[in-house]
Amino acid sequence: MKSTRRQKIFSYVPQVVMLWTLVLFLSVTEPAFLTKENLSNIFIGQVPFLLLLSLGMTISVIVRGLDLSIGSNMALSSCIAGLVMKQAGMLPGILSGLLTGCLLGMANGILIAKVRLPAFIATYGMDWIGKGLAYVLMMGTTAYGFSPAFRSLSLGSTAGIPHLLLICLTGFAVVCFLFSRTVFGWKVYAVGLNTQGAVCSGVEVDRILTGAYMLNGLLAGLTGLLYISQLDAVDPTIGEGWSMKLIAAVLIGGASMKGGRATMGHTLFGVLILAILTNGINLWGVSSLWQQVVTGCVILFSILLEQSSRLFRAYMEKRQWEQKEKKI
Amino acid sequence: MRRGEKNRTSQREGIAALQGTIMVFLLFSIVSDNFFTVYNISNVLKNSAVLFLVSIGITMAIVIGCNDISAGSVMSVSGIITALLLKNGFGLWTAIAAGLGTGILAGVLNGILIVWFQANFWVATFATYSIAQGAALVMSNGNGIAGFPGAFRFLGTGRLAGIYVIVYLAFFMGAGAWFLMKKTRFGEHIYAVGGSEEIARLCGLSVEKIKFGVFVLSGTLAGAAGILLAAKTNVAMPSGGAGYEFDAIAAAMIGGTSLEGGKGTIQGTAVGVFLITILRNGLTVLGISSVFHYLLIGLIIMGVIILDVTRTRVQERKKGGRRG
Amino acid sequence: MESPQAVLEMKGIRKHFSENLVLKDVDFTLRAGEVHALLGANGAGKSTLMKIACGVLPYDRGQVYVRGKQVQFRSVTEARNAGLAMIHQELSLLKNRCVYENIFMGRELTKPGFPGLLDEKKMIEISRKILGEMGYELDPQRKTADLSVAWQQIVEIAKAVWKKADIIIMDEPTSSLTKQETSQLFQLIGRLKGEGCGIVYISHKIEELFQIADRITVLNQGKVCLEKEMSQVSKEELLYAMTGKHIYETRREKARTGEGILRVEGLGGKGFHNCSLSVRKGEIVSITGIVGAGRSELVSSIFGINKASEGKIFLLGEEVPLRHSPSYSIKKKLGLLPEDRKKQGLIMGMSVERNIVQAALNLLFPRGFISASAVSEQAGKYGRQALYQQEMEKLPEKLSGGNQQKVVLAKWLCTNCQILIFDEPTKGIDAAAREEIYRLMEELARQGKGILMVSSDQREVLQMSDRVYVMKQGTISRELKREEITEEKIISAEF
Repeated sequence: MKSTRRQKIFSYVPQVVMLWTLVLFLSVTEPAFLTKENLSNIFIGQVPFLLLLSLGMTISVIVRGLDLSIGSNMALSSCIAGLVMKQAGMLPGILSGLLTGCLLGMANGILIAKVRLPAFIATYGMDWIGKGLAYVLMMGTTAYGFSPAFRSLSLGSTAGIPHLLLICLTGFAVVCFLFSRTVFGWKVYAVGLNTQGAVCSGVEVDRILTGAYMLNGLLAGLTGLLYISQLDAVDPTIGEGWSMKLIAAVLIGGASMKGGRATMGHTLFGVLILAILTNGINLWGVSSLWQQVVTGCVILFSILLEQSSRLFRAYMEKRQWEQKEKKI
Repeated sequence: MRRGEKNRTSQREGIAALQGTIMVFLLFSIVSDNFFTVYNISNVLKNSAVLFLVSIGITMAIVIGCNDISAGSVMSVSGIITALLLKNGFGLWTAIAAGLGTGILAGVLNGILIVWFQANFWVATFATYSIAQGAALVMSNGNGIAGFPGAFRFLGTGRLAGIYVIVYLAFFMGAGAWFLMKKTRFGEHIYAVGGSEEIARLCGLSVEKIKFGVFVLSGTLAGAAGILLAAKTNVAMPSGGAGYEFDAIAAAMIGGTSLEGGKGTIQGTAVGVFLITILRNGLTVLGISSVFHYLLIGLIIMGVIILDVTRTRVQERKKGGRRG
Repeated sequence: MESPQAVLEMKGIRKHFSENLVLKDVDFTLRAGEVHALLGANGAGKSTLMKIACGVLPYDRGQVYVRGKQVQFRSVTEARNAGLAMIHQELSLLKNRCVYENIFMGRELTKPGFPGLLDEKKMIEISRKILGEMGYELDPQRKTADLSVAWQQIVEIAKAVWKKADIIIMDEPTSSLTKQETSQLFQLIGRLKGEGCGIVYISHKIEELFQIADRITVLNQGKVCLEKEMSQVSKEELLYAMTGKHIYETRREKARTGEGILRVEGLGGKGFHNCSLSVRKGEIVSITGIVGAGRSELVSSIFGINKASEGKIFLLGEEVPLRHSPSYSIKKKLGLLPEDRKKQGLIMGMSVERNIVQAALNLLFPRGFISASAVSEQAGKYGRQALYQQEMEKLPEKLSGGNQQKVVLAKWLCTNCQILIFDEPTKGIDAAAREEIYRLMEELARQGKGILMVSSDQREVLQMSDRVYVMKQGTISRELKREEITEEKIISAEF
């Protein structure tokens, strides 16, 4: 038992080192970094949204996919939630938002599990459809000025802890629990690691896949709600440009795209690193346009690292094997 | 009777797409007075030219059993680079060469990731996509670059004998690609690798080189499309190519290219491109707000993809059943 | 040094896979203009020998001569250039290409002066000529996917002919051909023989060999045990040569069997048809047969991985819907230890502990929440039962084959399955672990579980079984009761 625990802790080392170096560097070079304003900008303005959505992305990476529709899903469910909320009150609004997210996720899951489309194509198509629906819905109407109760979801705080942080940490804890301590989570990992093996162990792969994408959609829906609560208005464009950031966060966390090898804890670190890095770029006075380049390079670098270490391992194994053969 | 067999099977799928296109065409002609006009038809041709260029590259990538989702943002970045050079007083040909070079570079990056590093092609082209997108934004400072010299604009909007230059260009590129796929050893090998990498290797083909070549070609074509898009619209936008890759994948699939690889033709893709362009154009002509376009096109394209995938599966099951 | 007409000669070939010696100094000679049959039971080494000849596999010791010249092929391409062609069981044709494109794949003809430009006309013409000379009228422009298996085989041979191959190796070419197609193929072989080609013909259909072969070599456990002119041997002699003449006592006392717990009636699907069998409590029943007889397909359809198309399955007396899933089977207390442990049996990358409880998750934790202590308790308990003695946190990819199999077994013990299907239970497992697996199987049978074992290993079948079903060409050809089980009977039912 001890050895695995040690392994688990060790697997966080690169991320912790990266985070620590970044924080140290920024606090020394940028006096503005450690101010209260800046920190709250990072931890309330950035991290909660990034984290919740990245959890969803992590789920899709675990089942060997990638979800390019998360941003659109968030936009669409927030638009629907906002419109319903204006008509029927807060609770129906929230429910409809979550339900929309879930349904869109379910559509993804069905396309991937039953129709067996590649996850890229299915979620990419869903991205356009979700975006399109959001624009169509908001054509000629707007929704703004929500009730104080709803707004306190993102602005209020309890015992000094901002609600936004509270919600996102609760979400994180729940998802962590789901994936480490429930039958569903274990089955999702089994499907991601070896689909055929999972089938042979009696895992209902179609159902598990659909469930995983539904959970993913639910998280997107939740984030959408928080977003409009903070913004105090709905905006169909809020979903643009998320996929890249999320994938970068998951990859910085050290996840492999091969499936079954991503964990929520690592994603948390990935999110923190990405958020602070972005913040640093701003503080340095570099145009925010560079963010995209940086995320792109991070993605590229992660892939190169993973693939080259894999190729290196395969090469070493082959050499070992050959030496063994020679001896015999 | 046996002789014709091959042609008939490969044409059958193309014909279904062609029938669809003609039907949509007729429908729009009947519903709207403004659709079937010389002006509008030449507009359709002009618009389809850019999409066609990207689609050729993507068709090749799909036929070899991969995909290239970086094409759209490669278009953006090559458009931006060309525009920047033109704005800064470089010559026409230098600018165009730089734009094409960007495309080639992106293709090489894809090829390196996929062939050398053996990365999954989705992930690899996604990495290229994100870098190209970022580069386009940084270089353009987030703004469109507008206003080009006449010689450059002639590429996009000029006419020869009443037909847009860009249409000639697309036609010749298409013909070249058709020739490459159909009549050359390289094309033959693309189909072979797409059919089965293992068997292709057994036959002594160098699968890696062929894959690399296809990705470089696809990048180059995306670069060319980006240049033409800038020339056509007289502005290079940092997100100008966004979504083109999706349209192109869909156009290829409508034209009978299968995601499984090893199947697909350039002429089929041409039909797919027409169908998509006509749909977009028709919706505009009918006065449907552009807000609906995302949704409708997304739905139609997803529908086509799902239909295609399920249809091939049903066919396979029938075949398997007969044997078993 | 060799007889002048020997086109392929292999001398003293030795080959091992990990620790098993599969070829023990094998000599093999193929003359020009002869059809040389290669016969042997499963694992006798005939495919390995031919793969060595074609450069697919390397070998440890020995020499290969092609037309008197010593060679050492490092790749298939090299072997091809030297005139060797192997026609595999699974054909290596591209289904999406035409006949002529397949014939010329990798060596396309180009227009003179235009490198890279295909000369289709010439290729079609030559293809038609080759096919015509072989005696077939087949349009070279037809899609390969539309052709029957027999025609595909002809294309495969045409490919070899065009490459001027004069050593052609055919691995079970008639396994999926009809009678008429077979006789067509034989005519072609006759013609090739007349042109001086040497042909190695691997087949399990002994009657065919008498029809077509000139000479025969029989391999038994990696050794040549018979090489003769075909006209001088009888079927009995061949069957006798293939049996090891070993005497294996059954090691089990007569089982005390109870009521039937698995019954299959007239089951048919992809690769098998009309199979009926039954397993009773406390019984070990074997299914044997040559590789490709449809054994694994049959059992994976019983378990629900593949779907059967006709027939009935009864588990514990209840009828099971035909298109059931493995999860349904597990609910009904049926488990399968698959042949491919790495892909199907285990989930690599997940600890042994989690692998053991994987199939029993729903059973152990009906409310969906997992308790870590319960997991390690259960995994420990069933791991011990399955004689697994390594750490529970290890990853299965780091274990030996024997320990991997024990983990798979522990997984099924954990689900409390009453019927267990073992598909090649000791494949790739060393001798000591093998004994342990046998002991475990016996113990399970004593506890009243029913065991269905698919095996190619004669010894294991003879030692372990209470009853044996022999499969041949997709159906059960014979059932042997405990008293009747002998190696001769099994071999003669298999071939």
